[in-house]
Amino acid sequence: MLLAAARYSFANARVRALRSKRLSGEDFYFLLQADDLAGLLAYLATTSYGHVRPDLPLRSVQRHLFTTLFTHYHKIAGSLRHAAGRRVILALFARFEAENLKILLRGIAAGHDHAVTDPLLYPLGPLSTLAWERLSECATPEELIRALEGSAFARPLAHAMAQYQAGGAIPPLEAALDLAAFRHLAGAVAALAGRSDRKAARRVLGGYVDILNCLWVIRLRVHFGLSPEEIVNYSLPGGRDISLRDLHRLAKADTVARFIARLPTGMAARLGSLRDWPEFRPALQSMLLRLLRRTLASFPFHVGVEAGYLLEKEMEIRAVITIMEARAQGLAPETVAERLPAALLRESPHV
Amino acid sequence: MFRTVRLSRVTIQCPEELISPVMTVLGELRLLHLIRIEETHLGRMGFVAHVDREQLGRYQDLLARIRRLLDGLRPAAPLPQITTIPRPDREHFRIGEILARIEKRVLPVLGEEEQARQRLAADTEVLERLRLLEPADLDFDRLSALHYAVWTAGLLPEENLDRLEESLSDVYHVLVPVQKKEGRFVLVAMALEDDREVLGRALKSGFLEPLDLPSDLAGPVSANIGRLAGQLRDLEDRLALLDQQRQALAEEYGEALLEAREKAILCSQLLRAQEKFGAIDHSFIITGWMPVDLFADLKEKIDQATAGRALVDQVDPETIREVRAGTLRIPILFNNPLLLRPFEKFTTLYGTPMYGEVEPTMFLAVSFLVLFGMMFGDVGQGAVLAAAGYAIFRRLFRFMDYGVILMECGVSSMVFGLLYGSVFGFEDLLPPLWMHPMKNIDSFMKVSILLGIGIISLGFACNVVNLLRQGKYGDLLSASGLAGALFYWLMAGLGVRYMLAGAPGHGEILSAGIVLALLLAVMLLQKPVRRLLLRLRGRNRTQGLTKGLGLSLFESLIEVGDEILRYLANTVSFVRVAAFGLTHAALFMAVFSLADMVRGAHGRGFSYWLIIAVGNLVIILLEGMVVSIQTLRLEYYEFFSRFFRGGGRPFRPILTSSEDAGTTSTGGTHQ
Repeated sequence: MLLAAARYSFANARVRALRSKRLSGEDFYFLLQADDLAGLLAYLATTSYGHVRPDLPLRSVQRHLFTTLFTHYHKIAGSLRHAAGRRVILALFARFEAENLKILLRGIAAGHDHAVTDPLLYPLGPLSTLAWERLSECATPEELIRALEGSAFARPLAHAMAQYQAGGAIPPLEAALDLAAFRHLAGAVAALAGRSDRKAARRVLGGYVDILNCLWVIRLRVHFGLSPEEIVNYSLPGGRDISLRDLHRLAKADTVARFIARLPTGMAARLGSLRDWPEFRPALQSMLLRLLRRTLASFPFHVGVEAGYLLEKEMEIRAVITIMEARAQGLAPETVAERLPAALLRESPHV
Repeated sequence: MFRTVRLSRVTIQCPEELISPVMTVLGELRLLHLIRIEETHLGRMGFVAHVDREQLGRYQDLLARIRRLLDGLRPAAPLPQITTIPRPDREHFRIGEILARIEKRVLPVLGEEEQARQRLAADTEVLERLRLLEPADLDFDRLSALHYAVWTAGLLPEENLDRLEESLSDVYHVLVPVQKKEGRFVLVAMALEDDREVLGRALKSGFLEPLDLPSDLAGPVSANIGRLAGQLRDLEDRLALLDQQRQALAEEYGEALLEAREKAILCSQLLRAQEKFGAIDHSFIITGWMPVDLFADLKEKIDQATAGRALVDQVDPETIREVRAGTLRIPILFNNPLLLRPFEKFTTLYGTPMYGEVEPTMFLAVSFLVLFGMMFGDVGQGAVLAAAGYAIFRRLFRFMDYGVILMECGVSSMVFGLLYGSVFGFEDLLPPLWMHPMKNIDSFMKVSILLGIGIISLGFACNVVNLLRQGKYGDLLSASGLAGALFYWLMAGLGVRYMLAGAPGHGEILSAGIVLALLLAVMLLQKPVRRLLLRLRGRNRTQGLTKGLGLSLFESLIEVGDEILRYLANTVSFVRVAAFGLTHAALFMAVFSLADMVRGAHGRGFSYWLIIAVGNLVIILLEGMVVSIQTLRLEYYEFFSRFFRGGGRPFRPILTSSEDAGTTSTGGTHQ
């Protein structure tokens, strides 16, 4: 324990300091109740996101919000003295690199110039070691793969090229990127030296992957109409409570009730009241948020605390963006609130 | 040599039907720099000719056919010299005829070769894929006999195997990992015929890359591998045979094809040149710059070719209104001896001289070689440089000019090596004809300064000539003109007198002081006085009003002060010649000190000579590069900056070689 304290105390202190600036339930209330987008941005300027300039276009404001997240990633990764723990945080960050690569691939498929795609990319900052300038200039997926040589993404993309060439569509490459990012994350967690450290990281990140997998199954089954065998192959690695077999069974569930019945007991009990597929997203996100908060409130000296904080921050930013876009479309506050995790709206400002 | 070739403006007017023989004559003479008709009075009135697109298209087609044949045959024949310029309106018939004859023999061989290569590539790929399945030794006869099961083989990322197993858990299936290959399993998957679609979806979403084997495979994998390997050997034998045929054809037709290509390029260039011509009714007007000496020859040949139906006229450039107005610039045609011609690259790197300006290549070449030799004097190293230059000259056509420069630098280095008595740093093999630089540092520095004074003086002289040629007589009184030159020479004379014979006497100093003061007064006052005179004459009133005489005098004071400081700085700058010469000798001392240390321990064996050899190599590469840069710097900053204005345009002859035309993708070697 002393060793764990030595490894994580500094990073932990930094997490606590950063977390003290998170939005409270009251902040979310005022953001939801804002008359329009300008009012929302004016309120946002009074919070820890005060650096976000309200006169910028919506897309730029959203990029600014993510800049905050990536700055926190940078600070936390820099304050971790434990190399294996730092690798977990960097692997978590690599999900955004995968997202940017997807944007580039979509740009290539649409024949867009990099001047069009560049503003859409996440502003990853110095933590990303990929050569984004060179990647932006790639005109074909093959070129992109060559430019990624040596990274965790090159080989999975190369292996997915046959599917891309056969169908001429980007989704196999996108799926390969997601799988690569999460496999990288699972590998980083497995490489943690201490048993308790590994266990805590699995609890947080495995739980996160379980919830993502549930959401993916619903999305791929309900919205895209994929077959169970395809859904299993596209599921993310590194889950904790939901096995491949469970995912296969979930993929075959044709009603909400059957889906819930096939979930692990604890999850099934919490989601038992749901009646329709759209209700799953906020409910599962609330479940994840509760998991993260439990982690942040329990024994502090493991990498799960840092990972948990960054996931919580990411959820907060995504919630703010959801509110912004909903307000820009003129949706009512109640409608917007239904789409957000309830646990987030009830957040108290205390650390 | 010190001025570019004298040019005159030539105008040719000929009937439309005679344009082709006229262009042939122009092509033969080569030295005509066409003026775009749009730049002339006639062009601005709209009398512009157009390129004959139909004929040009014919040559483009012919060139494409020639390129295909050359790409296929890859002949090693030298590039032919075209001595007789073809007529563009007739030559395409001849080239077409030659090509048809060659194509009849060559294309079947090339076609068969291409087919054989494609087949070889395809069979090699199938063989590679079959080898992946070799450990399983499947029997394709038995697999194709299956009625109730389907199978497929491919490469699956190894991390996806568990998920693929799970995804197929609802159907009867078999997954056989045959072997691992670069992070992937070579996998054979089977399922019932009824589950074909499920198997397909699962394999696709599992990122399986199918092996895509041909459907006509039969028997065991090993037998197929043996059969294909035999086929490949046969194909390679066939290709070797075809290659021999190709080589024979390349030898037979290579020269003819290269000649046809050169002629087609020449004709295309001549046709393209038409866009610079003028046209009035049914006659063409060609206008351009040409060496004055060639005019008589041109007139005679055109008269012959057109039976006197073309008008050929010559105009002195000074009488042309556009030239006087500065809207039409006369191009520059260099005129240097063969050995100095490569140095034109260094001149044009700085700028292209204006027509009428002193052409400094000759001075640059001589001073470059002297300075380089002084700084890099060694018989052995000079011989190495000369040999390297000769190798470049013989083997690398594109860098031939640099090869010549390197050879000449090597010879200069050898000459100075003899003067210094140095052979690869050994100073006891040859007696010095002049001196050892390290033992006569003072003298070496004095010589460097004297050399600098000489080169700067040459710069002054060139500037005075330029001012006289351009009629800027007033500027002769300036600090960079004749007055400045006299001032510099007098100061330099006093300095040299001091170095060689001691301090000058009072009388000498007094008389020199009076002259210097007078020259200084002239340099200081020339500009304000000229401005005052202009003002009194009522010209340039605006400038006169905005700038008072006091300000003008102050400006003049700063300019003259700056110029005199530059005299001093430029002269002192030449001390670097001695410094680098001494550095060269000092580097040798360092190498020999190292070698002597080794000799002390192991005797004069292999290590000793290795250090001498490596040391010499390092000095040649490092010091050679540094000295070249320093020499060029002295030329540009201390010499060229005194007189060179630049801003001219290079002479572009009507025809360029196929190298310049950028068409020599394959075939042909230069000699």
